[in-house]
Amino acid sequence: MIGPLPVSQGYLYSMASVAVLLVLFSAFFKYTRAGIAMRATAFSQQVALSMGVSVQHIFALAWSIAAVVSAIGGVLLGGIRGGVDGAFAFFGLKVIPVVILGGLDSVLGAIVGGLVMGILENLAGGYLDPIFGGGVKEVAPFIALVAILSLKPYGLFGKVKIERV
Amino acid sequence: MRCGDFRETYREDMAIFETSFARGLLVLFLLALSLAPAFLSFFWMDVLNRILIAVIAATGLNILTGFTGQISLGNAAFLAVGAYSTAFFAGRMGLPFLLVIPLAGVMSALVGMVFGIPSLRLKGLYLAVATLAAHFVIEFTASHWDGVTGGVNGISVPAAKLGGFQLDGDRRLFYLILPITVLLLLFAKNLFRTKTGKAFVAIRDQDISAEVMGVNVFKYKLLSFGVSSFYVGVAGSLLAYHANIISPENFPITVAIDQLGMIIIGGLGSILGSIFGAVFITVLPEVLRVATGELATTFPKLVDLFAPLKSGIFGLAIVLFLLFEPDGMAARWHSIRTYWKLYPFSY
Repeated sequence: MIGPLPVSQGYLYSMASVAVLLVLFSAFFKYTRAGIAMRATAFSQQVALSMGVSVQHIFALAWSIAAVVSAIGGVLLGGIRGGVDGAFAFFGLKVIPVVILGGLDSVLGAIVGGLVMGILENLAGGYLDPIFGGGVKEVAPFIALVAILSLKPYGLFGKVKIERV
Repeated sequence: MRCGDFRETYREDMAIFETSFARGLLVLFLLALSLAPAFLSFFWMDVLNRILIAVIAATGLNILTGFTGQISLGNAAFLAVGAYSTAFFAGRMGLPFLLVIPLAGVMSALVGMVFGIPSLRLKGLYLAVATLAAHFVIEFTASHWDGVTGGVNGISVPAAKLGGFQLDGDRRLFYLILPITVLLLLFAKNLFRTKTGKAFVAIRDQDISAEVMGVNVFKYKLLSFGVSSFYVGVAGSLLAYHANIISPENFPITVAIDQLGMIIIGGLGSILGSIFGAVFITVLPEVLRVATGELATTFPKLVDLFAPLKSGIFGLAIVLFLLFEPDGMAARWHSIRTYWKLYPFSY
């Protein structure tokens, strides 16, 4: 219970772990050698290579970090939903609108995007489901996604890539 | 048989068949194929029809992804548009299939072009995501627009009729699917000898350079989405005639991924590659099914492993092809052919 709101323990633990992870990652990308090397590789692989960054190692590191973070997400999600099943595989698809809205290369964007998309999903589900007969909750983020991609392809906090000839 | 490259004119360089022998061989192959219903069992006729439909869809995707360089994950949805248009035009309006199939293609092309509009500003990962969104939006429409699509229960498609003759059953339907496949493949092969096709390839290789050379990038990208979706729509229409009843479960996202697998394994940017890939991916589960059936007596547990085995081998094939033969089976086929051309005296 937080004030008058009943909140299950799982959500509290999840929020705490998410906060810890976010602080950790922000620090990692900003202050450690590996984090800076990763950002350099994302910016330009060739330049990173010529500055002595092993792009191969960075890719391996990036994949393993991504896998570890997803695994933590899976553990938390399993805790909240109280079980694991095959439908978890599709959860990976649902995060795409979130990261696109926030901007692909922004940690802050992921938080804001997650909140906005979660609210949008539930509002759309609540108000539009009676009209369309269910299922709007699942499809609303993707409709928003098309709009975001057409209007602001790099999201709210993503770095805009400009092509000059 | 000629033992080298003797292209002396542009005409020879542009020719589809290097020799009239090759053309003769293809005609012979098609004749043999058209006799297939007389020899194949009911089960393999069904597989053959699904192969041909997959060939059309894979060719469509290859035009977009392999030749124009625009990745698309919305293929299952465009397939669905073609199939539902068929159900609507043939079932509700009672049009003959000669009209229904092109109409289904056109409907799919229009929808494809709408979802191709973001391609003006997006490429790579972002475009993949935009087309993925198209998939979910269309899937939602298919399962909720009950009046037209029949919702989650699905909708039935009446059999194609030519005069009083019903084209139902795999054997008869085969003679509808085969000519359409050949026609579309021929069109695709010829498309890349024209200005439009060359513009597609220019956009794939370097979009900015293409723009500088006077190619209207947006127009040709949209056109590519249109042509590609037309193919996929026709495939969807044939699929509807083949399946008789269609529902949203026929078009999950895995269908789109399978088709991407087809063109990667077969060869991106190659018509022959789409054929190889479609045959490989469609036949793979059937061969596995037969193999697990044969081995079931000695290894009874194998039957339970069938589904994971199928996805495992599918994924392994894609990864291995990407690592060792990124140009796909078509490139392998080409190198095998050149090896045998001058066989004992290759130097």
